[in-house]
Amino acid sequence: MANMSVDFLGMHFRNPVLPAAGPNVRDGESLRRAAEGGAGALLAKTVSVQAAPVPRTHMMKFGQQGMLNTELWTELTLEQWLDEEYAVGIAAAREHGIPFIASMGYTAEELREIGPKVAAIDGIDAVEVTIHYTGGAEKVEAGVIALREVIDLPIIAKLSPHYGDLGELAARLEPHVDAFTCINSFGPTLAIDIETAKPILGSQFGYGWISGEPLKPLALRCVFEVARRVSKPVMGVGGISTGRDLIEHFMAGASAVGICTAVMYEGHGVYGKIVREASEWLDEHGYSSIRDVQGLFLKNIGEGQEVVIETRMQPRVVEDLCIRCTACERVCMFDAITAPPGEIARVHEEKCFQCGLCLTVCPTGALVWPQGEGLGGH
Amino acid sequence: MSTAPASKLLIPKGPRQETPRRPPEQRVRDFGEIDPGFDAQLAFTEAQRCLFCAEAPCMVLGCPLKNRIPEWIRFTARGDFREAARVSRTTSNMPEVCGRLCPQEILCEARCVLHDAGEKPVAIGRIEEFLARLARRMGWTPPIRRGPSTGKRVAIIGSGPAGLAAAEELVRRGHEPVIFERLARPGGVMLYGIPNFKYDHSRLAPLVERLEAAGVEIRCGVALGRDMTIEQLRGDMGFDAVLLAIGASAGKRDVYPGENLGHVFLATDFLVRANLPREIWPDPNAPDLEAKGTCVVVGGGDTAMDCVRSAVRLGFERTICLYRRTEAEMPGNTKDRGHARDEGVEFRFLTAPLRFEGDGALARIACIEMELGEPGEDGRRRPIPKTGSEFILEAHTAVMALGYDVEPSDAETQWPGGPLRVGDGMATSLDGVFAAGDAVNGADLIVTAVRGGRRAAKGIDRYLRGQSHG
Repeated sequence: MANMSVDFLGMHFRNPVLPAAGPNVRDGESLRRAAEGGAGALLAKTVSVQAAPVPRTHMMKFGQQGMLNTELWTELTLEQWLDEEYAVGIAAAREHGIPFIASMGYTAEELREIGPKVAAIDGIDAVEVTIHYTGGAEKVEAGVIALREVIDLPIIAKLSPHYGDLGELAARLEPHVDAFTCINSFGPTLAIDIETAKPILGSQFGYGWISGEPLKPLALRCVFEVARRVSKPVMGVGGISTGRDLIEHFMAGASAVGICTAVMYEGHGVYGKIVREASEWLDEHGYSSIRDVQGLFLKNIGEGQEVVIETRMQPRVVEDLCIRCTACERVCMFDAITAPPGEIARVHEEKCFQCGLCLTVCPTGALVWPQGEGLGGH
Repeated sequence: MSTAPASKLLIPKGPRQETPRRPPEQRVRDFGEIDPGFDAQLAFTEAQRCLFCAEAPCMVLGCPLKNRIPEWIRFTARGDFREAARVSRTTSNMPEVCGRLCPQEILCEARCVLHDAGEKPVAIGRIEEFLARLARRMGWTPPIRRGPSTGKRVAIIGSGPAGLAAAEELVRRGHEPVIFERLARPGGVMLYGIPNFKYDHSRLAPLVERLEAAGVEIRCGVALGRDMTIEQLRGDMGFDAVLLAIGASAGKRDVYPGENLGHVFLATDFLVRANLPREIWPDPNAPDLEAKGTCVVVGGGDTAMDCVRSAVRLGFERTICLYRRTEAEMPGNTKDRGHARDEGVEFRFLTAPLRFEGDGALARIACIEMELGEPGEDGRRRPIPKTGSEFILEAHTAVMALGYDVEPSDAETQWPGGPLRVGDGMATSLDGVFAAGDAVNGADLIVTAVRGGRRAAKGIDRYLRGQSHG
């Protein structure tokens, strides 16, 4: 079994899979379930000065594993957390020998008020500060500076993708924080119930924020962007539900990851499942530790790759893998593939424009570049 | 809105996929496998039939290895064959063997919930075998990773499924297993017991080579008791532990007058002659088989089916299976019995031999008809000879296929005889000596031998690390 433990800001995580702040860690009891489900450390839902006025409804599934939500921050009061929920969560963390991180937001004024109260709780090892509803880089910077002044615990800044170039933002915040979380949900976005021509979600215009599977490519770009720019560690969040997703985030530059949507769809055991899958993948690929893949992509592509605009390379069909489904023929806009029902697909070299789509559409990876290396797909 | 009845919800996508089988008249002319197994399309289509039910009885109740069946079927259904094959390897050292040879109809597939909907079960074994064969062909099966070396040496006696599985698991834990095989080639029952038409022996080599590549030494032609003792292994030979994975290869015999006549064989001798090249026979000087006239096989289990189907392929004019009860009491899997019937084997139920007759070599078998009486201790109705029903069956060759026993006791070598008794971690009462597979179970399945090998490896690991056997 590959070694899955990591050190993050001086904390020792038994594995790098944490809850990301959300309904999956809405109170002490759900934090306990995360610990039992195999999380490597605990991270509680974001608190603020007020309980969140959560619109009903505020969550919906879309696509295969995507979610839109407008559920804001914790619906419990700060007092409830300070008096009860943190204690339950911290007890669970102690029982499992894992660190405990609190999350808070948003403005400088709010953070100045909340910070010392949360930091005074015995057993909190670090604080994540989320900038989701702060507005503007100046205000974000002012927020983390304010928090820095009032607490001694390590601070992790959770960045939101709608701020644009997160590398830029991270560089600006780097003097005041100890690590970054990339990313929060992306939005606002909109879904409409076409039967009634009204919103599905209960926010003012029905806006929601995207999380889960569709967020992963954006999250990876942001992790990469931030890890490339700053030297402080990054926690990757966005679209992780399998061991391979974890590996991908690590390769982009993450040193730990957070999971929320996958927990909501698959249950609290998903932390352990992801760890197990990643560990098996590492074993299979000859790595002895998750740390061995950390930043691999960053190392390879940190300076960018050569852009090829002309090649004679053609995809090849691995006959043992072809299930004769015709998907490749259907998606080829260059008419370069014929796959009559019941027959193995064939690539017509003179027509192929090397777009690569067929390789990623083929459900079994039967189309490969000549080097034998399948691109994407799974 | 009407609610669909529960059974409707269980209806799978399409019928169970079958792999095209070679027609009987063609396949009986050689010893090749009778079907090629699933290809990618069949495996993918079949995997869509899985309901991914929450209980996963196939895994939890059906599989001795607790193979993660729903997980790898899900990956197969998505077309991710590589990941599916990888997951399947995490619980089994030889999914290609088990996929091909397990009696799935009484294990995983017997538990499939599709039965509840009146449907055929998911073809779990077929998918498992396809994934493993594909992974082998594609070069997806990675080398065995040696754990950090402990410097501990383990002697494994026997290179069948239990011995090979244990060797891999010991290497992973950093130990140094050496396998001792008394016959000429490694593989145990997979080579010397299973006919080539059920499991192509060429599939065995990669399994053995993968172990050798990980540093496992396999010494063939070396027998415990004859060439060395357990004391020597634990003493001069420097082994820290010994695993007895010797299988159950002694053919059971009933005592019949005339069983020493020529052309009367025990199943194991017959199968070896039928299926293997002479140079790797246990006794390379043994006389050849002569496939002439009628071959009569006595017995009704899996071994008997292997023998009758081998006889058909050898070219006997008639092959007859004698079984003393009715078909309903027959042990062994129904699949092979169906194949045997298709291949032209005649079955004579409620019939038993009385004596073998002939001048030097077998010429005829005196038989008697039986009827079923009261159930015996094993719950099966006992066959009772019908007075006056004796008759003569002309036969050139007879095979006693009554199953296998663990090597019986031997005063000279102080061998206690089997099955061997083990406790926690497959430890025997001798310090540092473990046992697994048919040596413990009596003649049983390959999959239970693999399980035993894996358990023994864990037990040996704990022993070598100085912990309790619990």
